[in-house]
Amino acid sequence: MTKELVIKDHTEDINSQVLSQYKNAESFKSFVTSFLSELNELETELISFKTDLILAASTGKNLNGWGLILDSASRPIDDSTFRNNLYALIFAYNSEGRAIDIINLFTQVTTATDIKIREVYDSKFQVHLKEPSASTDYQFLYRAMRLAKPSAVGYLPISTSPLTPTFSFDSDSDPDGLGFSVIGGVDGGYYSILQPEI
Amino acid sequence: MALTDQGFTPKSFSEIRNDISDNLKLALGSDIDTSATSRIGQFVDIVSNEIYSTWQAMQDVYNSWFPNTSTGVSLDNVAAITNTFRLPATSARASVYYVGDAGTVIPLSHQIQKTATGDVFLANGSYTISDKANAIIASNVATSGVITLSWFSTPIVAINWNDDTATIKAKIENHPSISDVTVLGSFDTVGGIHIVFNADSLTYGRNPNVVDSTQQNAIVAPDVATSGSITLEWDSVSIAAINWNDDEAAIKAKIEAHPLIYLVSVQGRFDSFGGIAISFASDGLTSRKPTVTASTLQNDGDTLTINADFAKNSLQRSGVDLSTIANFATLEDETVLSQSTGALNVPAISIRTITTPITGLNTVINFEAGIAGTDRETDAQLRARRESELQKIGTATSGGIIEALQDLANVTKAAIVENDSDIVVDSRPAHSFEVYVDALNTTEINNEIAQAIYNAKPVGIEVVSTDGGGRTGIYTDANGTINLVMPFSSITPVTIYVTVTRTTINGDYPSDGDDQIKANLISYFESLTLGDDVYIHRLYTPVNLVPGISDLEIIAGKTAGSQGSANIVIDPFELATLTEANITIA
Repeated sequence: MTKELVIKDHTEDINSQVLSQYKNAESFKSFVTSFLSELNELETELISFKTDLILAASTGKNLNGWGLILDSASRPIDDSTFRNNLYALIFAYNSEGRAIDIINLFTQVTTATDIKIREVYDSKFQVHLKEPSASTDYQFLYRAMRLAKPSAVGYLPISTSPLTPTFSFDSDSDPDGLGFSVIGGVDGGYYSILQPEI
Repeated sequence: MALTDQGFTPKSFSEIRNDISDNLKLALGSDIDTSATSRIGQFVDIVSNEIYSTWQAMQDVYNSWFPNTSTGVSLDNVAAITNTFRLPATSARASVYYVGDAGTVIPLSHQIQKTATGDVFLANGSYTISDKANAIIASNVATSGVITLSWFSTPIVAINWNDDTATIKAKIENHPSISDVTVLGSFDTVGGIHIVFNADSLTYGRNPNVVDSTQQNAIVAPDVATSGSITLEWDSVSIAAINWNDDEAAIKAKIEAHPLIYLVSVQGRFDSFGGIAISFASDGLTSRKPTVTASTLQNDGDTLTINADFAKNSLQRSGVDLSTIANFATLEDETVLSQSTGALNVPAISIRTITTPITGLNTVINFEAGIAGTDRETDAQLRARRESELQKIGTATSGGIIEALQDLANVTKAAIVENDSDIVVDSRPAHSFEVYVDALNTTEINNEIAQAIYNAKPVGIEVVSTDGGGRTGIYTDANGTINLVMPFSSITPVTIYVTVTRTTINGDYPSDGDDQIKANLISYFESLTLGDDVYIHRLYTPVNLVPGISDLEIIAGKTAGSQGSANIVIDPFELATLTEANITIA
């Protein structure tokens, strides 16, 4: 078992390691500790590799390195958003094309209060985001979704509520058809259908 | 801190030395001598240098975290994060026909070799020469002449040096005892043909013979006739003109009307097969050598040149006679692997030498180019591949399916074109996808590919092939149903034409400079992979490797007439290829 690296003050260690006859040899101890402070610095840096280079903690250029690993060409300015995008890419790269994989991906990268996926036959699906933030990066979401979806399965535009109304039109000219529909809103209008509740 | 938002910056030797010196002066007094020539200074230098080495090691550890700076095993580890593993050196792979006596067994690991280089290939299984397949193999690719084959002493219409497989098949199936064969190859492309008998009534076996007899004549045109007639004579006596559409009985009657020819058999006719084979059973001729005294046979207005002679092998290459082996063969081309791993190309018909003789084995030949062997993947190659293989292997995503296919030992490259829309796009039905592979076209490999596609594809999604399903494999589905057919496609080679216009410096440009330019360009194209566009500016580098060029212009295109300075776009399922014949140096 590899010993866990623990930071300690090597200049303090000297007191427990010098022979008793040198315990009070302050000049000798000062001479040795003058070198040991360099070891303290090295050890601190080594520990920072372990704690600061992981994806969860990397920032700046170090986080860019994770972007290289995960092939993320676009780089949002703030580290937190970029890190979330990278986590989403990990979900996308490991997706088996299931609904749960798509939801997990969106959960990682959006602040939506609810995420639903609706299967639209034949061979399509649609993701619905409830209350996504205004800064949601839809371009990135579509890229990740394309990576995560099964081959040849199509998708409808991401729908959102309530900030952006969701609607769709019905080609049917039935005069009794429901009109313009907004999820959680009011129906109305001609040639449109009610968006199914999801 | 050496590790910051800006990356890692190791402490320098002088920083370390100065820090230690400052510590010593602080602890022991500012008048302590730490100069490089003092005893303490020497001690400080030595320790500083050791600590500096550790900082350098930390820099290396930092670099090993990222794909663009890591190397060797560290790069292997980084690539493994996203499911990519370094490719080991591989053997070259080819498919060869073994030709000889029926029933001869070629054991596992039997050795044959690439004739020009001596590279040894091993049989990848135990193979048996079948009595249901023939191979007629010439000593080289033919550029002129005809050859007449016979089974059970009955000749077929002579095969022209440049007859295609369909024509050869038709001529063979005109034999009265042969009704269905599969033919591969031709004498002008690979110097031979392979025949599989699907249905026949050859009572005395399927042993083929190359006819060389003054008892038989071969009268053959380069194509079928659509009008006209031909007049033949023997012993200076002409027979009635044979019409372009006379059947065998009519031709036989006209020949037997010759006063010195009593009984012949005739195979073929000019409108269906472009020729006839005549066997003399009884005659009083001085010489049976035929002479064409007149011919107006034409194909759609084009005059047909008639070759009339005794039936024999007259195949030639550049005026030199070719010898021919006609014997039984393995039912299909069988897999052989190069004994050594590493870069090795296997052009078509390059494996012609038997290293370990076996009684009953006469010759071997590979009709198709094999899959080249490769060296162990370099760091640069692994970095490039890693970026295209980030998806988890074998999932139903496009990336996952591609990785599942590329994970097969026999697949060099794979690509997918999906149609996720509700309408037909480029002949692909709605919600379907097409798989393109760069892999040898054998039954064994095709079945491997088919099963891999099925195992990874999304349920309910159709897999199609827009090249008409020309390539298929057999797979077993999740219900245990066997022998289901999966269509897929081969990658599409895109022939590129390149024109190099160069001004040379006298004395500096080597005498074989043009050949070097061609070789360098071909080598560059061999480094391209599936879907790589052809960037014109990148063609300058391999050409400039040749010394003595003072001025240079390169243009390229998909046809000889469309060459220009614009980059050439290659689709994801295409592979740009360049041959020496398509390089013009001006």
